[in-house]
Amino acid sequence: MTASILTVDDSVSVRMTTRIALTGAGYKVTEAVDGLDGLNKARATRFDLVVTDLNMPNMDGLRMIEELRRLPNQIGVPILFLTTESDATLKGRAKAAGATGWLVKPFEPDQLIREHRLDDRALVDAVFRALHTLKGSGAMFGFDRLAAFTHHCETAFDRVRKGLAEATPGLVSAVLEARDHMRALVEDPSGDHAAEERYLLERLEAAVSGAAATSVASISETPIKAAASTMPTTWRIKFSLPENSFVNGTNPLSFLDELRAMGECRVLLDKSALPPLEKLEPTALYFHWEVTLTTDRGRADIEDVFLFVMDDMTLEIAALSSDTPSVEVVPSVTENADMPTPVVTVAPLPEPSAPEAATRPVTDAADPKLRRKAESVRVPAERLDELMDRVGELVIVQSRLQQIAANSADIGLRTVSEEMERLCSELRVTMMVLRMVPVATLFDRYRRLVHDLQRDTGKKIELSTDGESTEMDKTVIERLADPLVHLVRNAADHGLEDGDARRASGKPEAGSIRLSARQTGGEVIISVTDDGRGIDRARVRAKAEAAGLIQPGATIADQDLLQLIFQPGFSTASSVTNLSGRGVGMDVVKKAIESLHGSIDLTSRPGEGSTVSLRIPLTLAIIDGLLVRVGEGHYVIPLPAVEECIEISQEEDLRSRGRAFLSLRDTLVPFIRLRELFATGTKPDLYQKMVVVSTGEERVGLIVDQIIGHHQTVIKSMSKLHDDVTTFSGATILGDGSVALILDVGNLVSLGQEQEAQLRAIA
Amino acid sequence: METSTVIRMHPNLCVSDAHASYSIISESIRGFSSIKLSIPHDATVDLSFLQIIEAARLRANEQGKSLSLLEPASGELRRVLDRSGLMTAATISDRSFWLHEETTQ
Amino acid sequence: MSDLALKTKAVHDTTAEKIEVLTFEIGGETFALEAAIVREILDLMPEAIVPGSRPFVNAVINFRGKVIPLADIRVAMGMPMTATTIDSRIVVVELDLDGTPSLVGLRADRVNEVTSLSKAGGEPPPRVGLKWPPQFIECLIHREGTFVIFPDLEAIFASKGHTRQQA
Repeated sequence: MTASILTVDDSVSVRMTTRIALTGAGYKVTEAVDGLDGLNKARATRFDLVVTDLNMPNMDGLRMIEELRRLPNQIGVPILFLTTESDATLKGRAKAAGATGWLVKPFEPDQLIREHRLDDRALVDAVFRALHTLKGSGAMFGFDRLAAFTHHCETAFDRVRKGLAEATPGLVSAVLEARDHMRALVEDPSGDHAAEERYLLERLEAAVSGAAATSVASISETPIKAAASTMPTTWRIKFSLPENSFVNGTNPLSFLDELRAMGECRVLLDKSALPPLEKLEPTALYFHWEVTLTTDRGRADIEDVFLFVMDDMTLEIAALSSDTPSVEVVPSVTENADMPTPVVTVAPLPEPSAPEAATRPVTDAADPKLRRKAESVRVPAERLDELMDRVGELVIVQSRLQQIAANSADIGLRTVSEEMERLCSELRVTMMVLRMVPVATLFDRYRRLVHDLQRDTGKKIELSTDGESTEMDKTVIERLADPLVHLVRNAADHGLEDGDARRASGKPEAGSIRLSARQTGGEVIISVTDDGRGIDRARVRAKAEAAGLIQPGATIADQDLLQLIFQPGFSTASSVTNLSGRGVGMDVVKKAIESLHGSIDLTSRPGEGSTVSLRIPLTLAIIDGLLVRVGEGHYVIPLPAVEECIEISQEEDLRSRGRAFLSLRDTLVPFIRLRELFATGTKPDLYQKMVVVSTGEERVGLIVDQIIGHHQTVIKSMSKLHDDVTTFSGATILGDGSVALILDVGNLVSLGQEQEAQLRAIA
Repeated sequence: METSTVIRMHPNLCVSDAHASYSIISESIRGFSSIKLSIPHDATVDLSFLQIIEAARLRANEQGKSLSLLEPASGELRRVLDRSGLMTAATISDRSFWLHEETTQ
Repeated sequence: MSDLALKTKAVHDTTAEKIEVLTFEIGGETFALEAAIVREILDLMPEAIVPGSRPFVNAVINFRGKVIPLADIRVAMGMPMTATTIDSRIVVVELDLDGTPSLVGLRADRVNEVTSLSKAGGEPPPRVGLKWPPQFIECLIHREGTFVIFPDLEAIFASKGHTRQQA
């Protein structure tokens, strides 16, 4: 039976968007253009959900909700309203009128679906990815048994992912149990788990082949959310909802589902308030609940579940495992000499189960084994990320303030704005420093991997590293970990020859893999070099032709041929091994690097070996820029590249017509009139400005109409559709919500050089 | 007077039709000493129905009547049972009523 | 969103089935897109021109904090440019571009309705006598005395062969 939904809004854009999202999710949608229309449609048909705007002609949303609640055929229908305001009085009034909940505009249509639908593909994909990473990390650190077990789980999940089996609740609970088992394996890798493993795998098998299909799908969120690394607290939550809850469309089950999604949860229904049958009012709610929840979320998150009904209900929340410290001290397992890095990388593992958490001391500082590094406060990485997001938002707001202040005569406002700008800039620098981590933390992880690879491949491998003190943003380092695993494996698996072949070609028996890092300008270059056989072009070509990536016999430049390795669907591994894994090839490496705004260079000499170089920007999030105007468009020039700004007088401007150089303190600097390059079709400003930018050795002048000022920029990447436009490296959103493009200085400089060369050739 | 009956419930066991479900069930308890409820597999069920059934079970008990499900709870009914937490602290008779689980102890 | 692409293909195969589509107008012609790929319909908003880009995707907009490209099907179809009106909208769709799910805004003169259509009644574009490039059209459907055009977005976005604007 398809659920049918009434959407009431006077904006055709909102109506159609809602309609498309909901019909796409399999719902039947009826549209109404205002309150009166909505009410008439509700008189005629019973709906399962009503979504309505508040401000509408003819009859507004509040009136409509009131009227709708009186319709006998709509008893208990949930009514959500869309609002642009977070205005509490409005919410209060809508609630009084009988609304069930609200969505803040502009809302994500997905949100609506998420709240009314349990089956979720993305969730399945996320679980699969988590399993895959866990497997890699497991093998990496010698938890062979864990790797093997995870491999089996993954096989099961792979079928779900490919749509061969359904993500039934039965499967989800089997995975949850498997997850607990994996944790046991990490804690006690040497113990005997064979019997339990067999049982769990059987359960998984059964679940995948679609045997069981009951209980709740929404608990499937747990394995992902559980990746959070804070200490869980156990809460007792008692709640009772008003008797008219059903009539107002509140569904207590959805609250329970939300609580379940937050962690380990035991839901106890209290039916003691149920009246005798003859006194029972069938549409009233009598049940109460007591929930025991172990979660890493705070009290506020739990309260949020009940946000909309909070005023009318009774809610008691008590912490059972007490004294959560205000600054949580997470055990620094990383720096514990007995257990190097592993446990941290195995982060997708869940929090401890409820009984254990309840008895376990919340601060591990009490544990002498973990005490050593207690001087520094450790903050969970995700909080650092949250802070970074906030700083990013602050930077945007600050630039808005700066714009307002610049157009204002209010000296006080301007002073505050300048002060704010300084603080923001300092905060950003502090934030960056906080997040910088030496690359050594990354490289160290691969010693064990190489050790195991020697055993698995039977090849002798020497790992050397240099540039470990190079620092990079923590998030960037984390996101490099998996791609580098692939690259190192690939070098060992396919790059290096075996001992005999090496001796035959006069090489030392042990193959060499070198990891190096160095910083140049705003980039860090990380390379993986092997001294193996080099890439076999003929084989690459044959594979690419077989996979349909290139036409048979097509002429293709060497570099382009090598880059084919990174195409999806190209995998040089002819068999699926524990090393290369299933369906995760070099294309994944490429995607990961591109998502970091980085690029991959590949060089390879037959018989001598290969080098894969990853060029990664130092930081992801924010750059300092100079905001300029050219014609009617705004552009950002990355500040580290800017040498100076010069005003060009009209005479100079005229004199420079038809030439490509300006003389700047006895040297000639090539310049580009951006107005011409961008074909703005506007008249030049009276006083043109030249911004001199450089990439180390080469300089070029960029002529702009106006220099607006210093601007801290949150970088957004450009779409693939603009791959052919090399002038810009990204985009950013300005304080007023408009978009400015970020100039790619490297490309503009080479453009300037070309232009110079052409003019020289003519002369 | 007939003392045993099977009641076939309609497939909408939600609050919107709660009045109807309520009157069918209370009427049958009044009129019969043994009532079996047949619940469609594809019925849509919410908490209001659980409340009616739980209240009806109490009444039947007090009056020494027998109320049972023709088949163990399945489909949405089973899901709502699990989601609601009603089965968390279920007694033997609860489990026997909803799930037809028989105990050998 | 590669699975979305798969889903879309599956629908194409079973042409008898009715599918939900969004119909909209460009240059007086009615176009239709599968509703499944439509993410949102927007009123016009400030756009930033991308100098040096193909006229087909000549601008970007701020869509919920993301910078997304704005494409104009009329350029691909070789239709004349027209001024925007109060009915002009941007249809945000999710497409698979080189294996990456990407959001793209499409310019429309107006959006009409969401409706179900069966592609069974559709015909492949005639090879001759059509004013639009046939490789960009998946099929045409007769409806209420007029044609509804199903553009082949995959082909349109894959073709980079369009005359590039010289800087």
